[in-house]
Formats: sequence, structure tokens, C-alpha cells
Amino acid sequence: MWYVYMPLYVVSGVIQPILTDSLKYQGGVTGWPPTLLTLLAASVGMALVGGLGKGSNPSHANTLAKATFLDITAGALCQSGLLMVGSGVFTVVYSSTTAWTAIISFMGGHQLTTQQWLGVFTISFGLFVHAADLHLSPDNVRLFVGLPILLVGTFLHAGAFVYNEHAIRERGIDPFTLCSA
Amino acid sequence: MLVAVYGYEKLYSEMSQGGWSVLVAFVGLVLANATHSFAFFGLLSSLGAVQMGVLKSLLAVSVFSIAATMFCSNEASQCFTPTKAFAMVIVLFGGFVFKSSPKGYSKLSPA
Repeated sequence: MWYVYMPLYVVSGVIQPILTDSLKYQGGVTGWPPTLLTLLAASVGMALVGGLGKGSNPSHANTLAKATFLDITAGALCQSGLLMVGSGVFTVVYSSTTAWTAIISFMGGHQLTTQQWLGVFTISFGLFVHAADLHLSPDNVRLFVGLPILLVGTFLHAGAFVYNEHAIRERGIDPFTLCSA
Repeated sequence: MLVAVYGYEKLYSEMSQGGWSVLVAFVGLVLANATHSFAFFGLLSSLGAVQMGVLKSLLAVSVFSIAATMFCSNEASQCFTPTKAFAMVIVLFGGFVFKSSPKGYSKLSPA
């Protein structure tokens, strides 16, 4: 089924940030008080996928609750961090997600080859170089508070990736039920 | 959440002055998010978390070149620069190195 999912993933992945930028430039996201419109769109979008799921088994309630907690906490921390440090610093920190995912997955017992590790760190370095070209001008006090929040959010986001994989592959939870949880 | 409610009041007053394209963009974003989540969780079960992380990075740099052509006039940080082009080549090379590894992603066997 990957040949069905892959084009959908790529096309929606291209449209998603462009619509987010469009909302931002129309004043629907930035400024104070925040509308959290992008967070709402993400939550509603994920909930809509639930209609495609096979439903959950009561024995999966604990795993679903942990996955939901991780996802919501990571999302809330990343969004709060984004509002405090700005999109420039956010992109730099958030680019470490790929490396954190590989590290957490390794700690969970998955093995990567040396070449795969090299690929992961090359990608992370490239994303860092890309983000470092953003001409940052962050507010120091907001950065002091926002950066640790964002770091924890990014780490939890990577943890959610790994935990979701564990829930699907090892607990046998339907992926679309997990998505809408 | 309470802060967001005040945010919506401000947004509603702006939309009342002819800014309904915000609503169109929001509905489009909900549908794009639903499709992206559907495809992400579908792929996660077959590719695994690390490969999805790699794929997400490759997608992010590809999207940047499209966003640069659309939004460079809105914000300088969106514009394409030689450094960003170089970074894009590094990320794509990293993706190639990861993907061309002879042995796939595997679960460590218990000792």
C-alpha cells in the first residue's frame, strides 16, 4: 500500500506549509492574542482520519492514552516555543527531530547501520545549515524561556514518532485509530 | 484555549472586513492535514519511525524551494540563497546515503 500513501504524503506535505504560510500572511496565525488556527487544523485533520480506522480494542486503551499524551504535549510545547522564540530559531531546533528519532529508536532497541547513521547526521547538518541562514533576531528573555520548552517539545515529538511505530508494529493497533486518538 | 478565543474574536472582526480567504485557507489546511496524517500513519506501519523522520526532512527542503517562489516578496527569510541551495544539496545527499545502505532498519535481537 506504500505506493498509495507515498504520493498522498508528498502532495499534502507540499500543500500543508504553503497553506500555513498563506494563513500567516493574511494575519490568521501571528500576532497577539494567538488564534492557534494551525494547531486546530492539525487536530481536526487528524480526528477526521478516525472514520477510516477499525476501532480500538479496550486492551489498547493504555497505549492509545500514552501516544495521545505524548503527541498533545509535544504539539503544545512546540507551538508555545514557536510563539516565544520565532520561526527562525524554531526551524533550527526542530530540525534536530530526525536525529532524535534515530537516537530514541536506537535506545528502544532498533539497529541502524553505520551508513544510515551517517545519512541521519548529514541530513541534520544540512537542515541546520539551512536554518542558520535565516538571519535571526530573537528577543533574549523570550529565547531564555522558549528555547528549553522547544527543546523538550522537539524531543517528545521524536519520541512520539517512535512510540507510534511501537504501538502499530508491536501492539497491533490500527494506524488510523491511533492517528485519531 | 481562553487566549485563543480572544484571538478568534480579533480574527472574526478582520474577516468581517472582507478577509474570508482566511476561512478558505483554513478549510484547505484541515483537509491537507487529514490527508497528510492518513498517509503518514499508513507509511509509518511499513517504513518505521526513522525512515519517516528522514522522509520528512527531504520533504521539508523540497517544499522550501516552492515556498521561496511564492512568499519571497512577503518575507526575506523565505527567499532562496546560495547557502540554502548548498544546505538542500547536503540534505538530499544525506537522504541518498541513508537510502543506499545495504542493510535495512531492524530490531535488535534479544541477548
